[in-house]
Parts: sequence; C-alpha cells; structure tokens
Amino acid sequence: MSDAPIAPRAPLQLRRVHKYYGASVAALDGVDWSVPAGSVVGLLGQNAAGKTTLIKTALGLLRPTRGEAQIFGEDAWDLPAAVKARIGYVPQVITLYPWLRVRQLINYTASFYPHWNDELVRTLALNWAIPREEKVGNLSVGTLQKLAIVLALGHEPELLVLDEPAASLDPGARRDFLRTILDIAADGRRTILFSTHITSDLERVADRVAILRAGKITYDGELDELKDSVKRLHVTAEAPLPPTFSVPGTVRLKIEGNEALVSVRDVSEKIVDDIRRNYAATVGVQDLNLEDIFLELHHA
Amino acid sequence: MRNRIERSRYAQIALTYTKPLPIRIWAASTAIGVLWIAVTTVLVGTTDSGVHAAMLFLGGSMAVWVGAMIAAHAKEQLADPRASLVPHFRTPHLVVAAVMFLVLVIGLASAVAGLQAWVAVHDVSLTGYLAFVLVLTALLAWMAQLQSPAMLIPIAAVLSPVMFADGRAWLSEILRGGAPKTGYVLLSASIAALVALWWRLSRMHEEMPDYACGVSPGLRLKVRMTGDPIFRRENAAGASRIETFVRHAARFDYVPNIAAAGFWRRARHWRHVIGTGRMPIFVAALLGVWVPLLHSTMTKDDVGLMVALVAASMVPGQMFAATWPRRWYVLGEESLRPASRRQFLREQGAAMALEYALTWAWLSAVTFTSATLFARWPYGVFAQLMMALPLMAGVQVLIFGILVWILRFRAGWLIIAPIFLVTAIGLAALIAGGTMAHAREVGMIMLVAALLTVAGVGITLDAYRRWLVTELD
Repeated sequence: MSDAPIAPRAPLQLRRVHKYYGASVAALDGVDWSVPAGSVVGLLGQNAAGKTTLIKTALGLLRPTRGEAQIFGEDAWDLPAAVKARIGYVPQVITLYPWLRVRQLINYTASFYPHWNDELVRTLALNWAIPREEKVGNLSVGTLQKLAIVLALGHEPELLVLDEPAASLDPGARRDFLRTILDIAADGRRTILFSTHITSDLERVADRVAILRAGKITYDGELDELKDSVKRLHVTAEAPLPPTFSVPGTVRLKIEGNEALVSVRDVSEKIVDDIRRNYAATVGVQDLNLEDIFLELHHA
Repeated sequence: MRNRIERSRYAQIALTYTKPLPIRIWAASTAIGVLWIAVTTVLVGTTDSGVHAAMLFLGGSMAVWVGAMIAAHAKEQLADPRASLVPHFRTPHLVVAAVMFLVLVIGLASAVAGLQAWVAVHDVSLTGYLAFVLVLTALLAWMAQLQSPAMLIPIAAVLSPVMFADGRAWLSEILRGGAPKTGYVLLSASIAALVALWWRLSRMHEEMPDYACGVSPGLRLKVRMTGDPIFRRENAAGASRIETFVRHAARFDYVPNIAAAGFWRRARHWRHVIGTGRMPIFVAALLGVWVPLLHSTMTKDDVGLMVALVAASMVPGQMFAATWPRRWYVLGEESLRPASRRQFLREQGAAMALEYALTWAWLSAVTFTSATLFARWPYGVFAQLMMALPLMAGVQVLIFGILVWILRFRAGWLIIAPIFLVTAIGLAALIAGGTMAHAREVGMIMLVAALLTVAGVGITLDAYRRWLVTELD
C-alpha cells in the first residue's frame, strides 16, 4: 500500500497501479495519482503512453495487475450502483446501437438513471445539430461522438471522464464542446478528466494537467504552474560553448558553436545570471505554450 | 531455401493461409478428417455401405468448407485499399487462391471419390461428385462474398430437390453418373460461378456493396456499431428497415425508467435492445409451414420428425450465438450504468436466459403444434416426440451454459465455433433421444435430461463466476 498523500475526497484515485498486458508489457507502471474534486484535468501523453489504459483502469473496466483504483472512495472494480450514477464516460471508440433512432437511444440511456436532465439533452442535441429522428447507424463519426457526449451528460454526472472526446469533431463543434465543458465545470461541483492530443483544447479548459509517459505520471499539477516552470533559454556566448555546458533542471539541450538552446524546468533569475557571468553570454528567456512544453518534455 | 521463400511473393501469400489461429485450427481439423476418412474407408472395405455414404458426405462437406474459406481469405486480402494502390498486388493473390482451391478442394473431393471407387461399394461418378461439391462451394463462397440474405434464394433453389422423392432420385442418378450431361452442366455452371467470383475479386473497389461486408464476424459486428466511415454501407445495413423491424426498435419510443425496477424487469430491458427481437416468431412461422411440407414429401414419417426436432433444438443456440456477441462492443459502457458488477452480470445472464428460453419455447411450440395439426403423424410417433421433449430441454440448458461460457472470450471467430458445437451436441442428443424414445425408455430419458440440465446449470454458474473477474472494457 502506498504512503503517498491523497487529496481528501478525491473523486478518482490511483495508488501504485500497475497494469500488464501479458507477462511483460507494462501499460501502467506504478501510477500514484488523484484527481481533485471540482477540477478540470487534462491527461496528456504520446501514443501508447497508457492514457486509455489509465482511464479504463480508473473506471474499473480493466483490473489493475497490482495496486488500487478508487472512485469516490469505492473500489473501481466493484462500484456500487449509487457511485456509477455519478459517473459519465465517453470512450475513445464510440459504439452504439445502429438500429435505434437517436431519440430512442436517448430514451434507452435515460431509463437507467434515477435523474435525467431532458432539457439539457434536448438543448445540446439541438445546438450540435444531432438529428433526433435519424438512425444511429446513419450518423457520421463526428455526430456519433457528439451523441455519445450528450448521452454521458444527460444524468449530470459529478465525475465526467472523456477519452479523446474531440478527436473527430470539426472546429465549430469542438469549440461548442469546450464551451459546454466550461459551463459544466463552472459551478465547481463537477470534476472532469479528459485525455487529448490537442493541447490547445486543454489550455482552453483545463486547470490541471497530468502528463503520462511510458506508464508513469511524470507531471501532475496546475496548468499555469507547468507553463511558468518550463522555459526555453536562448544562450549566445562570446566564445564557442564547451561540450560540458549545462544548466540545472535541463530538459533538453542543443549546442551549436557559440549558441545554445536549453529547455529548463524551474528556471530562476540566479540560474540565468550564472550563465551570463560564467560564459560571458546573453540569455533570452522564452515562454512556451503547452504544445512546446509537451514536445520538450518528450524530447521530440 | 528459406531465402527463396522469403523472396518469393507467391510463397509469402501462400503462407498467409497458415497464419490466423482459427485457420490453423480448421486446417488441422480438416487434415484429421481426411486421415479419418482414408483409414475408415480402407478398414471398412466392402462391408458397410452406410459408413461409406457417411464418408462421402463428410469428405464433400469438408471440401466445400475449405473452398469457402479460401474464397473468404482471398476476399479479405483483396477488399483492401492496398489491392488498388500497391502495384502487382491482385494477380499473385488471385493465382495463389486459385492454386490452393484446385489442390485442396478438387484434390480432396477427387481423393474421396477415388477411395470410394476403389472400395466399389457405392457407384460414385467423379463428375457427379465434383459437380455437387463445386455447386455447394460456389454457393457458400458467394455467400461469404456478398453476405446478403438474398443468397438464401439460390441456396434454397439448389437444396429444394432434397425435399421431394423425385428430386432425391434425380440427385442420386447424377451422383452415380447416370445423367452425365446434367453432371457436366452442373460442373460447368459451378466453375463459371467460381470464375465470376475470381473476376469480381480481381476488380474489388470501395464502391461495390460487398467491399465493406467484413468477412470476419467480429469485424462485421464492430463496424456496424462504431460508424467507421470506411464501412458506411455496412453501417447503413445495421440501420436498415428490416433490421429495425426485426429488432422491434419502436418499443424504444417510450421507455419506462427502470432505475429502481425489479430484477426481471431490468433483465427484460437489457434483452430488448440487443436480443433477436421478432426473429424467433418469424423462424417459428417458417418452421410451422415447413413441418407439414416435410411430412408430405418425406417417405418415412420419422425422417420428417427428426428434421423438425433438429430445427427446433438447434436453431435457438445458433440464433443466440449469432446475436449476443453484439453486446461485446457496448459492454464496457453499459457496465457503467447504475448497477453493481454482480447485479449487472446477473441481469445480463437473466436477459440471455430469457432470450434463449423464449426462442426455444416459440420454436418448439409452433413445431409441435404444426406437427399435431397438419402433419398428422400417427399417435405413436407423436408420443415419441413428446417423450424426447424433456431431453431436448436438457440439451438447451447445456448448450446455453456452454455458449455463455464461451462468450466470455470475446473473439470474433468464436462466434462460428458454437454453431458447430450446438449442431454436434444437438445431433448427438437427438439421435440418443430418438433411440430411447423409440424403445420407450422413459426413465432413461428423464435421467439423461436431468444430467444434462445439471451439467448445463453447473457450467452456467461457472461461467458467471468467470464473468465476475472478466474485464468488460
């Protein structure tokens, strides 16, 4: 059992979760992580980093090989009905019943929940131009994705988990979707976790970000903190820089003659002054957007 | 040698026929079957004509199945963007498929016919036997290609002579070589149908309606439910009027809330969205018409009775195996609806049991009623039928348990396996039941029925225990 501190009443918690496929493929490698209540968390990671596995394990769709996943304090593998009524989930691949009409599928989904906001569902379907009388099998992939999101929102879940929800949406629908996410999150009672490759979406709505790399959470914190902490330094020295040139907290370093590009974490004025003094150099400090930070952290 | 194989495009394509595990299993089964036919034919020699007839049937069936598998494999390779974009892709694939077909199908059928000619118990003509094998192979291969219910029409037309005494005599005459011209016509027609199939495969492109019909059953189900734009036609097929009507989708116009409903009401709810809908009623109606027809055309009452029992006993399992795998692709999401894991799995199990029981009840009730009212089998035969009923019920419990147990693996090719399994178990039970009923061994029938039921319930409970620890993603 992990001794790692867990935020109280975190809607979603993972404690030293390992998930192996077969004997040797570790999709999750000892993940200790929690999603604070009322936050909008973006989960970032390269392809095959383990994002979908993490989400499915957290929801109890996959069983951890070792460790423990909890939702609202309950074992995710065996959630009580009352807890499930508080969860909304949109999977990466949308699978629905093609022979039902949209309104029939909405009726069917609504029938399982003790509370269903029909007004919200009608409004979203109207705004997103989801044809209620059309058969689900005739919908495009983008419309299917919108429908899946609407179905996941109908019971107004306290925890909404979305696995790459905007991947198939056009720019207009994506903007509407993000606005809806912001509206849902506005009252601070709901927690939203979504994985994505589209970092600009994440910057627009997320207040926290977690970066998953090779099955491990390598960053978990406020989005603004991450953006403040990672900077790119443009170093131009009077003489060629030695191969031993280094900066504390270096994420990536590229030296070419008198010049160096250094991406660093937790850069301070003192570090910048030291470089100026030790190498007789000018140092420019550049802010990075989330996409640049992601690329730097992954050495891309 | 290894380098030559690796460099040869033709050899590499041929090796694809050995790659998927299901095909290896089928290939191994076929090889064992061929060996068994050869050994049995030689050992039995000239003594037992019934065994030789069975060997002819088995060998022919295997050849037909292998032929259809080769055609389906070729389609999977050619209904693919690479066939249009990669230079010189189609020709070697078609040539390899044709060579495999000639060697395995024609070779297997010729060998079986040759063995029969050697023991000389039945008068079997190679032309007649090949004609039968190739006609059925062509039908099955086109069925795999088009995957359309419309193919049932030519299949019914080809099989219809079996229904009539004159038809059966005509088929027997062709098989013996007594009608060589008809044999050659059938042979030529089947070869033409196969050449047409190869021609179509050589021109497959995305605008063809059969391009997107996935050959793999798992793929076929999945593309229908995920809306992949490549499979637009397939998706549309999943939303066709027929499918909507058969599934009785209109019942979802007004859906009661079941959040706090009782167990069986929730189980019925789960069944409605995925089950066979009105299909059991249609199949039962067909059986209801078919039974008296069989009675009027078969020479012996017992044969008609046997056919009716076979249909009523095996169709429920086959319909179930073809329908319920659809839930695989929504299981993850639906398992997150408000219900504990145990409650969810119990409700799913109850929904499946309900579906199975209702299908069997419909088919059996209509078959038996039709047999009573229209076929007018003698009282003795009808009494046998009623005596076999408990045994058939026990068989259904056993088949249900096995199917629920197998469904846990969620593999596309496993959908096919239960169909053969159901057929094998059903036939074995039927022969045993028929024999016991004929001898009026009521006590023995009840004992076997009870044993089958206990075994079925045991397997179902074990399946539930295993489902509890199965990942539902």
